[in-house]
Amino acid sequence: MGNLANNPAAAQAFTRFGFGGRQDDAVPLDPVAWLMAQIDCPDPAPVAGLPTLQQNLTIYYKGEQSPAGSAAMAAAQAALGAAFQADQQAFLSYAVTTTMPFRERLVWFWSNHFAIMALTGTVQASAGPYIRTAIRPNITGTIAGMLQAVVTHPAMFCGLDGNVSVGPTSQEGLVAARRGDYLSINENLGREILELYTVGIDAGYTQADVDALSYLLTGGDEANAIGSKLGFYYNPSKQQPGSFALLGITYPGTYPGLMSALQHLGTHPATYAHLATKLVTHFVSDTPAQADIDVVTHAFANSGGSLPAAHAAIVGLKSAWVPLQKLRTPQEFVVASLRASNATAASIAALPQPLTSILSSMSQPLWQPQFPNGWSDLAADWTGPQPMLVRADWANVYAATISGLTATAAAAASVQPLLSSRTTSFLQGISNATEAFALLFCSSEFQRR
Amino acid sequence: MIDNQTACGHVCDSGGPAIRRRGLLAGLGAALAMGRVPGARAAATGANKFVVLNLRGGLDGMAAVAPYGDRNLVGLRLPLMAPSVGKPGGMLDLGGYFGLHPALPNLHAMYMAGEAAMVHAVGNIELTRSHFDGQDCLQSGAQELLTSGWLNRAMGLVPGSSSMQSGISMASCQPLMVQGRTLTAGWSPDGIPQAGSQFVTDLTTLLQGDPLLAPSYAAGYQDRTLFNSAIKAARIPAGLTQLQQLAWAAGDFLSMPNGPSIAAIETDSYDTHAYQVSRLNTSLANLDGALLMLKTALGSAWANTVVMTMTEFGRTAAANGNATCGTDHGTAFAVILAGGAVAGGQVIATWPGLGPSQLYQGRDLAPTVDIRSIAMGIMQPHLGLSATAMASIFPGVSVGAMTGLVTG
Repeated sequence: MGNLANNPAAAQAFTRFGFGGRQDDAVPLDPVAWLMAQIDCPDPAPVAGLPTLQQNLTIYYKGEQSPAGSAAMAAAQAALGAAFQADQQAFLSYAVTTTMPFRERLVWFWSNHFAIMALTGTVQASAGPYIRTAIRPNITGTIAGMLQAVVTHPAMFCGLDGNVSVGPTSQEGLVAARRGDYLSINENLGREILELYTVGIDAGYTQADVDALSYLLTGGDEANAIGSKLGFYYNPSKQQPGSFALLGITYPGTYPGLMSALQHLGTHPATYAHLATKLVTHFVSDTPAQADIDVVTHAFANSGGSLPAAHAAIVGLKSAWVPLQKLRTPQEFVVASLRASNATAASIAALPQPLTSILSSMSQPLWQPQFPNGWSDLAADWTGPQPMLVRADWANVYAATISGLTATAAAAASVQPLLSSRTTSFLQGISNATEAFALLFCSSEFQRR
Repeated sequence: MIDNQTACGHVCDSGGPAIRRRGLLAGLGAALAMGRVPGARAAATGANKFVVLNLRGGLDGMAAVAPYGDRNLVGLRLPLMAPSVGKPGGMLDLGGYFGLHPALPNLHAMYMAGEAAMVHAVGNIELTRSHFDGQDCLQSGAQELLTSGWLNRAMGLVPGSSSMQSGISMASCQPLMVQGRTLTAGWSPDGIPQAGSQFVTDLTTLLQGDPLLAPSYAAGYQDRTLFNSAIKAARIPAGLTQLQQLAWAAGDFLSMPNGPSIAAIETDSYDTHAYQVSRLNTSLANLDGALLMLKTALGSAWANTVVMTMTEFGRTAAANGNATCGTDHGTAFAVILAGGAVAGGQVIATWPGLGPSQLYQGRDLAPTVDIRSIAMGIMQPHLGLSATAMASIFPGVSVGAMTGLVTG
């Protein structure tokens, strides 16, 4: 371990692949090895004290199954709201304090790729568990494995209306028809799996493919009987009978049929190219070079869609080591500021305004994107005058809470080799300690990664 | 059963001449609108205001502006429909063929006063059932994703724009439609105390030479001074939703002396795959309140204003089952025009019909007019932009501007 000032590659590894350095970070002498070691290990994030899916859904359904407006319903909603807040706080605190920040950036990337909109109901109740059980353990697996876990998690399945999509001539559909009702497929989940999560809009699929995947998904359901296992389950009585042709391959309308279809989508060449483009755009450049995308696409293709293979390929890109090519999103900006100032879980908890509310003010509320495509990571989407000013406003508010550390010392330990000499001398000339911190955070270099 | 379409002779199948339906009382409304002496309108084009309200998610045009006169409507979507005109909680009549959603009473009052019009069976620039492709094209103003938005290009061409920027985006995050060469002012209520002047001075110095951040902060701090005074003078009423706050603030900013000509507002919550009836009751009531707040805050400038809604697509003609009563992604949609400068009291549509053979790909309302025709039909006369300007705002556009959308 060494000194950051003599190790610009370490500063680059902290900044490009992590959330920025901390004063108490050990500086790796071999930054590439340090990054590679984070790709394949078991997920290091703590889970103690955080709720399970079963726990949260038990509270949620108890509330739902209580009379509207009852004290029991209000209590359940309050308990879930508190659990959600605590889960978000733990997630942010971990990003601020982790010693394996590249791994956590990968968790953030894939959580945002398979984005859920945790605004209300089942999705909010299952959001934290979704990241713990569908995303984290699959970072060391394959695209297809993560896809299967994500699609069969209630946060995604119910969030995109899979639970209310019913085969019109399934058992349930026929029963409904006899009483004069009409049940049918809801395309929401099937369409977004193709467009956003796997092959992408340019893959040339048709409405018939959207229909086919939607029919294959009709057997999924939401288990809400308290006392039994809650969440996603496969309910054959909802499944549209027959076989369905998706992208030229026919699958039976069964659970294994659905899993085969997802396996195929997760190993489709169009999926590899689509996700490689997203990865390189996220980690390297808003305008990635096709050659770089090709490297990552091949890493997927040569490994059956292995995520560690693709993640390692990104570390190996020469362009990934060109500093400060990307603008930090508001979430990344806040976490980087907290890391540079050595924030701890306790200091975060003591902030006058919770981080979750700050992120909402910055128009990037945690786990709550407006749409299932997640948050943009392109500078053009965040550099309008207003969002830039809000960052600076918050930087001033937060800087006033920092004690026992100067901006110059914080910069030296976290980002110094990436700062221009002009920025360094400018900050040294600022006598007000709070303002110096706010200026460090808002500097050209610190707003980038 | 007599086909309403042929019986009344007002509404034609696809390919037929466009007709304009006026509301029953629209004669009165239109007379009032047109009765203003020309000089009563702001003489300078720069005083005219154009507000684009992007309703993300795909607003169901046949719920917002229901073609109840089409004999196929009930068979397709009875469970989605509001009660008939005249019944409690029923649709608000737009002149005998179309009914406005009951959650839009303020918009209906504007329509009856000749201050609102609807355009129906409108198609996006690229017909797609993808939110994201659809919004990319809708906001780029082209059949493909561009690096700037059409409204931004319009802002750059507005004649007589003062030192105040010509456009404002009512959002913290700038939507693609206002991204581009002309820096767009932005505003949103964020609840974080504003940084002090020493910091602003120092940051401006520190960022000198940063091609991305320096112009953004410089413009932002310049605008903030103006916005602070406008907001302080007006005071946003309590109890408004976020959208209504944005609409009110937009009205304040647009009506400032030398205020911007163009405003963009984005909202979502229109992706009604399930429980559409209750969701739209909420979302459209929110929209209705926002239109009223915008009108109120604009004050006398409302007379010179055109608000245009847009959305990436309409929704399926039929419900996706009657258990949760949602609709999936479709094709043609309805556009709402509101403002004192709208040639109001009319529903403009070349109605394609809802028969099985008339539906687009057998499932959606078919588009009969391009959204760009409407935008051009407003911007040319209202913002004083030329036909040449239209070609740079909408590169590759081959459709013409719709006429008769604005007064004056």
